[in-house]
Formats: sequence, C-alpha cells, structure tokens
Amino acid sequence: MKKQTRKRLIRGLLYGSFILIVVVFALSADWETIARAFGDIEIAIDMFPEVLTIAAKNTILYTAGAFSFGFVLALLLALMKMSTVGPYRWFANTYIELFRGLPALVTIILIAFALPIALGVAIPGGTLVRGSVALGLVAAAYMAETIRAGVEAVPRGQTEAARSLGMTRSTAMVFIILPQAFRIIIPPLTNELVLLIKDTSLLFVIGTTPQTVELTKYGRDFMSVTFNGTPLTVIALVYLAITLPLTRVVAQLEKRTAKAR
Amino acid sequence: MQKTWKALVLTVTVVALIAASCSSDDEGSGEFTLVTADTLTVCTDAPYPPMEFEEDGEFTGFDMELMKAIAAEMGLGFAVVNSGFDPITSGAAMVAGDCDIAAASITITDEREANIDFSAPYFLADQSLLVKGDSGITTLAQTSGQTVAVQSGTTGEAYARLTAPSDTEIKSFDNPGDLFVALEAQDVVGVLQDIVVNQDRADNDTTVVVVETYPTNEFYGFAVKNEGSELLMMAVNESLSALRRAGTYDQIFSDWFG
Repeated sequence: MKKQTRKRLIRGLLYGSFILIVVVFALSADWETIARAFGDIEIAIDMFPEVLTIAAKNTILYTAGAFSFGFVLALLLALMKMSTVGPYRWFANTYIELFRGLPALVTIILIAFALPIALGVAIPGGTLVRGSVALGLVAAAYMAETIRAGVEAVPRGQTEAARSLGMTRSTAMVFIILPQAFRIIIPPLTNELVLLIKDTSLLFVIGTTPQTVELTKYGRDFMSVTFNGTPLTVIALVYLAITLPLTRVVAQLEKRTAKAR
Repeated sequence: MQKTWKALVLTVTVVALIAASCSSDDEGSGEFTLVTADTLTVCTDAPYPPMEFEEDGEFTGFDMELMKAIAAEMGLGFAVVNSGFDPITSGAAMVAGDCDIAAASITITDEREANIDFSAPYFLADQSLLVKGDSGITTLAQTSGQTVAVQSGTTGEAYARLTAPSDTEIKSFDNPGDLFVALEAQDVVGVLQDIVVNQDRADNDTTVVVVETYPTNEFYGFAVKNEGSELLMMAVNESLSALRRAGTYDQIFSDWFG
C-alpha cells in the first residue's frame, strides 16, 4: 500500500488501542468499591481544617527551612568546589558524593539519632530544626552541583571584564558572576524545591506530635483509625495543590530564560 | 622547628579541653535534667489503642493517662512525642533528647535492659491472635501457609517467630496502625500482638475476633536511657507507688479496663 495509507493506518491503530485500553479499564474497574475505599466524603471532610492548618502548614514550613539551610550550604559548597585551595575542593567533593549517595531517609535517621548520640547533645528546635538540617544537608549536595554549573555557564568574558575594571576575584564573583548564575539556575532550583516538598514525607521517623505532624504522617494516621483509603486521596490532592503551581512557575521561568537568550 | 612544636602543644591542649568539657553528667544538685524544663516529655508509639492513641489532637489511652497522673504527682507538665517503637527500645529517642521517658506498652525483657532502664512493672499482659471472623482460623497452627502480621521489634514478633508453624510467613510492620489495616486489606490472615490491643479492636469491630491467648505473662515498664536518668527513674517509681497507695492507679485502670 502507499506510504501515506500505511502511516494513516498505524496512527489509527495507535489511537484505537489507546481508546480501547481506557474503555476496558473503565468498564472492568469496580468503581463502587473504589469510591467507598478512596472517596468517602465524610472522612474527607473530617480531615479539615487540620490537614491544612497543621499538616500542610508543617510540610511547607519544613520545606522552607530545608531549602533555606540547603541553599546557603550549597552556595558555600559550590564556592569550595571551585576554590583554588585543595582541602576545600576535597571536602566539597566528598560531601557531595556522600550525601548524594545516601538515601534521604538514612540521612534523616543519622541526623536525628546518630548525631545527637555521638555528640552527647540534643539538637534543639524540635522537628523543624532537625528536619531542616537533615533535608538541608541532602538538598545542599544536589544544589551545589546546580549552582556550580550555573556559575560555570556564565561566559568567561564577564570575569575577565570585571577583573580588567579592577575588581578582585571575590568582588567579581559576588557582584557580577553570581547574580547572572542565579538567573540560569532558578528553574533547576525550583525543581529541587518540589523534590524537597516530597522528601518531607520522610520526616515522620524523627518523631511527631499532633502539632508538628506533616501531611503524609497525618494521612497515614487517619488511615489507620478509619481503615479507609480516603485520607490518602486527600493528602495526595493537597500535595498536588502545593507542587503543581510550582511546576507551572518553573515552566514559565524556563520559557522566559530561553526567550532572554 | 620551635614554631611547629608550639603549634602542636597548643592544638593538643585545645583538643583535650574540648574533650573534657564534652563529658555529660546530669546529677548535680539532686535534681534531674529534663528535655523541656518543668515538663515530663514522654515518647510513645501510637496508634495503639487502648494504651496510647490520638484523639482530638491529644494523646490519650491507659499509658498516657497513667503518665499524666505521674507527671502531675511530680509537679511537672506533660508533653508527648510519637517517636515509633524502635527508637524507644534502642534508647535512641531518649539519648537523642527527644524525651525524658518512654511509655509505649514496652515489655520488660533482658535484651532491652542492655539499652534502656525500666521502671517498676505497671501492667501485665499476654499475647494473642486476632483474625477475621469469617477466616475459619481458630489457632495459630492453622495459619500454616499463610501470613501473620506482627509489629517489628516487639515481643509479639519474637513469640510468633518461635511458635508459629514454620511455613507461616511472619510479616513485620513498623507502624502498629498498619497491622489492622493489613488484616482489613486481607494482606494477612491474623495479627499477633498484646491481648489488650487486639481485644480493643475486636470490641470495636464485629468482623474481627480474638481466637487465642498465649500466657506469656509480660510486664510493661516505663523506659529511660541507660545513663543519666537514674534520679528521674527513682522519682517516677516513687510517684507510681504513691498513685497505687492513693487508689489513683486503680481508678485509671477501671476507667480503661473496668
């Protein structure tokens, strides 16, 4: 048959198979049970307002804390990695390899328990500080690489121009290079923020009180007393309500940076 | 050469001073140190009704109410942290400064004595098997070829490993709440844990029933870290005795199990 006919046929088959799969799934799923097990309105209503005023609030707080701490540390690490001083480069490299190689859960347990036990002193500030430190350490390892890539993406001509105007290397870095680097790295950093929001779901291992509980633990606890999956649906929707706007913002930022080039 | 020598001596002195100041002790004036001043901070493992569970934003249950009474007897406030069972039995939660003492239906065993110190016993319990009413299972032996849920790190888990048929799969869960969820989802056919908790579930849910009780005669105790909490433990034991003498213990017991 003609090439065009064959193409049309294949496309038709692809569309058709997709529609077929959707229809088969829609017909064979036990919607009544699913609605009962995951869509119980009464249970969903029961979860408000605490799911927002406590659980979602805490999730956002922990994310903000982790991101702030992680960002400052990442900046430091990126500068250390690009430093001319050997031991600094070595430390930054080791740190990044270590915390990128460990699961975030392991890092959280280490910071929450192993560190205080080893140093003999409890980390003050409760879950907010401990969670922010633990997740911040992990985030810093990833963000350091992003920041370094951003700095190296700034054209060398900028450094050269700054130096030839008489600026020291540090002044050039702080006032000329870093601001330009930030514009480049805002999309990947926002991605990191979204990942952090999801990683806060691991903070339950630190121990929770009714006031410091975050979304996932709140949902799980609700599930184990109601024996229903609706709490899971509710917290899933809340997570999406937090992360989807952020991913939209990233998409917009990426579009704008591409245009600016 | 002289400069290097001086630098070395200085470094060694500084390190030694830091090391010396790092040793912790909390005896002092006969007072015990608390994580939060004037508050007894208690670690627990919830939900585990009727011993410890959350209701209306507060932790309650037999363990919690007894602890509240002890804290009141000691003139202290009361705060709870839900830290999970393993950090409690390993002592990590107390050593890391999450809480002063743990009340989580902890059975007093020799293995645990290595990591934590126990109070005087305050409760007696046995193990039991909970199954779905229509499962046709009436003994542990009948779980052969199927799965039984236990909580990891508990005496129930140890008992199940020892006593269940060799082809019964023992599935360990971290969170006690997941045990009943697993039974409900038919992921497992039975839950092996303390009788008070299984019975409470059966009382509230007609589809499940306790089919067997195993007389393990376990005693629950409150737990503190091995070192540094001796004075606190003495005060807690004294308060517990005072509560027993005053009849408050019996009052709380009949509130929950009367």
